[in-house]
Amino acid sequence: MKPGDDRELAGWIDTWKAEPGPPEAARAAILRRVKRRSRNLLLAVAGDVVITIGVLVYFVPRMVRSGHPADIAGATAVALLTAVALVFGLLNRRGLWRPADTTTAAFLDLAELRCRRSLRLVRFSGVFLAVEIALLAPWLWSLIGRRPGYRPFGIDPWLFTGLWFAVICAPIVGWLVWYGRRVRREAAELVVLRRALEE
Amino acid sequence: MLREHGAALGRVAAAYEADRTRQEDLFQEICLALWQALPRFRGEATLRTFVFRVAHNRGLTHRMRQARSAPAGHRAGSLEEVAERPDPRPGPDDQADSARRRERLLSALRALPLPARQVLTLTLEGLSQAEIGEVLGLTENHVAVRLVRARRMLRDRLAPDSGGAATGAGEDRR
Repeated sequence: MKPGDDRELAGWIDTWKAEPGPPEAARAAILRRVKRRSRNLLLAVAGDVVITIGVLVYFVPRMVRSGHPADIAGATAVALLTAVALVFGLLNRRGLWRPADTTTAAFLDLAELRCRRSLRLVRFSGVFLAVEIALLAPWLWSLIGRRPGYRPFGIDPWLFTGLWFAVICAPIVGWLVWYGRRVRREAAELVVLRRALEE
Repeated sequence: MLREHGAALGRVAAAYEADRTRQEDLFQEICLALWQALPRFRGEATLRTFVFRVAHNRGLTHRMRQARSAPAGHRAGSLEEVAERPDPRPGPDDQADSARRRERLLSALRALPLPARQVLTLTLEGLSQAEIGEVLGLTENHVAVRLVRARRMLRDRLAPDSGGAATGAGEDRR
């Protein structure tokens, strides 16, 4: 049956198509959004590149140049962690950039895959943080031990290191907990949505 | 693209969202998604099918986000229980007859379960059952069955003694 085959449907189509289109102002807003999103994407990529280059080109060579075994071990750990994070990021994003023009059923599959990958990211980030601390804390303590009388901001260097880790870790852990909950909620909504669409 | 499909995309947004401000927001999101997806358009489907796929997928994402951001007391763990916000525009009584009919139809559509709503909005846009199947990933037979059921539901909601559709206060079953 084609639309318009019966009067009832034809009437609904007439009424439906009488709905006015979007206001002209929406076009300007869309252009603004496109520009903003392009800029944000560029900034996100540039941020990743700058941090990676900063770590690998500036920080690691400086540590290696000092020649101290602890510094060399620390530099190796930093380089390894950066590489692991990059590889994980690439693998975890694989297959997620398919366009949104798939069928509704395929789109739901993709949305579920995104949820699973996001949860994987949360788990990986937690483990990564723990490993990072486990590898970098001894190096930091070695660095402090080599500088007798060093008191950053007038406080004990060991206490300073502990506070430094706490300040860095607390927001990361908080974000991981919040993001993990959000993704789980989204996954639950997806199940409901899929059930609704399959009824 | 906007000149050709803008009005249809606006109607898809209206079918997923009652609140006028968020409707415009959804419309812009759909256009953004199209802008991102368009370079990958290889002509395997018609442009119209492509556009509606993107639009309905954005609509679904919008529903999920809405359910996610709803206050805990309202969410109650289920997408079905998220209520539509009332349209802040002047009531139908203040508008012309055609606008009133349009609003009534939209309200009735929004009150339908999501599968019925999708298949009906696509039919009202003039897509054939084969095209609707391409958009939603269903067989033509499945589309036909859904359409029959959806039409019956819409007819019921538009019936003069059905208060929900007339006032637009119907439960959004999604």
